[in-house]
Amino acid sequence: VLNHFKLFFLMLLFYTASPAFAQISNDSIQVTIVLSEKRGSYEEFSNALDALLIARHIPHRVIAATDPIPSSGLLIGVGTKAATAVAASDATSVLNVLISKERQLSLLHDFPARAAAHTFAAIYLDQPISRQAHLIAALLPGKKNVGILYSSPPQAPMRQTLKALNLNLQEQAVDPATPLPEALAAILSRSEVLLALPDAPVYNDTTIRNILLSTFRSGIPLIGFSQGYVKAGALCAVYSTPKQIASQAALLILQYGVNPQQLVSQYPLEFEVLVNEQVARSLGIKVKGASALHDEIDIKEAP
Amino acid sequence: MKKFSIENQTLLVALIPILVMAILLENYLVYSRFSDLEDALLERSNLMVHELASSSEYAVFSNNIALLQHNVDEALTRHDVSRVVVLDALANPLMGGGWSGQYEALLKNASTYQNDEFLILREPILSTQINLNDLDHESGLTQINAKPLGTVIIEISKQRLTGQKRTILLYSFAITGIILLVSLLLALWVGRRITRPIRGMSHAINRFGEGALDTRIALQSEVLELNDLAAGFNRMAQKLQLSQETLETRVAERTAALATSEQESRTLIENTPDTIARYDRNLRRSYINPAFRAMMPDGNNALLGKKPSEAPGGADAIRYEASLNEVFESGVNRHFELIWLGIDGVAHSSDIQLTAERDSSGIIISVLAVGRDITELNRSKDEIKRKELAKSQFLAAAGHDLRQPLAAANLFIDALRYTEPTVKQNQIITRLDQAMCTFNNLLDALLNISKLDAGIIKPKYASINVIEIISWLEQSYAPIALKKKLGFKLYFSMKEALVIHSDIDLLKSVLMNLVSNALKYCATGAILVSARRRNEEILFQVWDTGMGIKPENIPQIYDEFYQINNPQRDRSSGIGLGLAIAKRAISLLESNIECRSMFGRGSVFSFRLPLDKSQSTLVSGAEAAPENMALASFAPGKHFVVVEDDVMVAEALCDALVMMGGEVQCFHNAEDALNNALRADYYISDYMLGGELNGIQLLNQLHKKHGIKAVLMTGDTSVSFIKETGNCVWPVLHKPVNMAKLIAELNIQ
Repeated sequence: VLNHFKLFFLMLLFYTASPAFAQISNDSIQVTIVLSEKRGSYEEFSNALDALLIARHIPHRVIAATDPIPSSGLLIGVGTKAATAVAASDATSVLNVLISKERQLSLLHDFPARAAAHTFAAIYLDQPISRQAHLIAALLPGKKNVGILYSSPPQAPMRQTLKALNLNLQEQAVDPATPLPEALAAILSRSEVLLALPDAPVYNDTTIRNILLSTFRSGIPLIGFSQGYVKAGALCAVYSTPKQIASQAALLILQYGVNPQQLVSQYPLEFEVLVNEQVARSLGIKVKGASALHDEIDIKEAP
Repeated sequence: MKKFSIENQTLLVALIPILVMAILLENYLVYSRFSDLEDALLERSNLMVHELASSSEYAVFSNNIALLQHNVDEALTRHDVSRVVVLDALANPLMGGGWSGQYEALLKNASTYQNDEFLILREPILSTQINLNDLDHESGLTQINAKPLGTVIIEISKQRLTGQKRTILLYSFAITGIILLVSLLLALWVGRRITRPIRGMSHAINRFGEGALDTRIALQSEVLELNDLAAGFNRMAQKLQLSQETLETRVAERTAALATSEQESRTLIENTPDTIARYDRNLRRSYINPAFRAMMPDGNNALLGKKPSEAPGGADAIRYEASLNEVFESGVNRHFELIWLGIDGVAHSSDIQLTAERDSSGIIISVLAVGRDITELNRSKDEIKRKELAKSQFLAAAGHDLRQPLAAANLFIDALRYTEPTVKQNQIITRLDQAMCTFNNLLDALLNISKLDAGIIKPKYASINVIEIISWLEQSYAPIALKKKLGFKLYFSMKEALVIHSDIDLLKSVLMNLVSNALKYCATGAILVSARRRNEEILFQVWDTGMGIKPENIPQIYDEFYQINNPQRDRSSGIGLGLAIAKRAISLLESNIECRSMFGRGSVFSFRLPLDKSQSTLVSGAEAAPENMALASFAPGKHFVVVEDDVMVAEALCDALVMMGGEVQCFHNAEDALNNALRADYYISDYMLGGELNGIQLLNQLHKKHGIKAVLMTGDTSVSFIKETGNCVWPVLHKPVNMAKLIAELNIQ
């Protein structure tokens, strides 16, 4: 319900502001969408955004990451590759999408001028840790110890967020001294649920099978952060679709038109919940339906 | 070259291709099967190692040795897997570690190694890739998947493969063997189907060859051609049997006939009055017939196995044995007249025909002596001779006595002519004269015969030139032949002067009788008299184209008074003593007349007389030139002028020249000839002519006119003529002129 309300609010904002914005956008907003690749989620995002901008009469064009990057106007970097290219360019205003928070931060670290200018923002791919904590709480009410594996320690104040929901964070670093199999064995012995983080050295296509197998053997469910994890065998995941991110991006473009200095990085607003019921049955866990979980998270996230 | 039976041939033909095919097929199949098996093993091994690598992924990842052991154990339960080694990412052995070093050494960097005993495969244990479609990860910045989790090495034993290969080989050998065996049996069976009937045929042919002509081949073969062959053989056998039977029947018939004929011969031999004996090479008798046996008491013992000199012996026996030996040596059959003393104590004479008997190779093995007692015959012959002589002596005496009254009768007839008889009487006188003349001739002939028979005439031998005889024949018979319009030719060799040693009168009488007979019995055609040299003899032949003589009549023609086709004894045809006289005359000259004749076509009578070698010389040089030319070939186309006052002589000469093919002008006196004679090749003149000029003068005048070739004839032997001829340049011939001499004289000019 809250989600629908949020959407309604956004729609209202869109339509009431439209004549004035149109006027402004026609004059001042130049949007260039830079795609890492013209396929998959990138294309889905691009198509959705394109449709929304056309409806708003906002002039825009789509280029590839390898094309010359224009310096003026707002540049939307889609994916890590495009974001990196845009960061390296002369462009003043940048909004990255479909990029992990870790990557965005590392870009800001690489290009310190961007961080100072406040015109290098992103809509993170990661879900906010609070939303994950809400999901765990809603999905597995009895599980208290949440384990995480990382190659580099997470930035977010995860422990506090989990603590707020009465959850204990168990951490285990993966390093040359503690290779993945051992780290995994160690964290699984201390946790009741393993929360996957977008940490590529640990969680990737190669390792995911053995990680999943190890968790199954230990009877510990894995919480993923994308559709792919659920399909591969994770119990559950919250994630945002490219379309949902496109809507959020369109809103940010409109805000940029009103106030170009107001570009701020943020987590996705809208999300989806996906549960692998087969995995739940295999692990002998009774789970709620995806929509019920979504609603529960919505309610808990409401201010 | 080595020879094979049909069976062997069939075997070879059937087996060699099958053997070759079987070996090739076997090789191919075994090879392809082997490589299939090896491929299959390799593929299966690949699958197994891959599966083990996959299944061991998690165990190695999680270092779960128990799980790994489980997987490895499971792998080891598979066929052929003999050993498994699992290494972790750092090549530390997790399972079967002891072998890893050895395997690595064999494999080096390759993933497979194999020898005859085993196969080693290596497979890295890779993490299974699961596409998370995690957008952020696609940058690939931190991919760690390239490194394998570990390695699986698996050793596959080829023992089972070797076993399978062995089984396949065994089976293929067995199959080849079975095929060969079946082919062998089939080939043998087919071969037997051919050889058995052929062997049967061969047996049948052998039996047939041994004389079992009723042998037949049973038609049972399944091979068409052999059936045809058998049928052909059977047909042939049937025909042969049939012909053999016919032959046997004939032989039996002939044998019977032979036996009959032998019986007949035996009867004949045993009952013939002639004596028959066979002498062997030792001249001993090996056979005598009853007639011979009867010659002596106890004939068999006395004569068989004895020589003639032993029995009956006698004066002639040694001579007889010599004759027998001669026959043995020369092989020429001969007669022998043996005189022997008979049982009756009387001398007997036997004419014995000695015949050589030869064996199949032509060698004389015995001599057959067939003797006939001719004692009686000789006795009657002597009697006849005595009677003949008496007859002749009588005839001679009678002839002489008959001549006296005959001469008187002739004188009386002449006397009658002077009694001025009437015409009628004159006719009677003429006929009487003719009758007397015939009687005279007959008497002469009879006297001749009797003289010849009585041996009164003895031949007076002298050298006679054949030309002389020929000329005489020419003169005597050419006019008669011309009158009868018959050809009359004389042939003799001119290359040499043929001189015989004989009696000219007897020879003339022989030729006269033969030629006049020929003229008598020849109605059309010609007569040829020839004299040719035959070695040391001269063969005289008288040919005619007359009526001829039937063969059966030839022996009779020499009988007195025998005349063919003249049973009425027409005297105009002669008296039929000619050949009888000729035969007697020639036998006095120790020769005989032969007669050959074809009835209706003509006859030839011939006889031979010995050559007088001392006189017969080859004529050579200029002298021979005219002689080289046959008489007949001189005259044709030549012109002759004959001047002769004697009309008879002129006519005869002219006729002779015309008959020889010349053209003749005839004059009776010199003046006529001088005035009218045309230019001629040759001139023939008599010395004594009716006119003023004599022959020499005429020829001289003609010679003055145009230079002539000429001959002078004369019958004058007076002193005045001989004086005149001293100045004469022309050749002189004395009458009677010999035609050959005349032509010879003309020819040399």
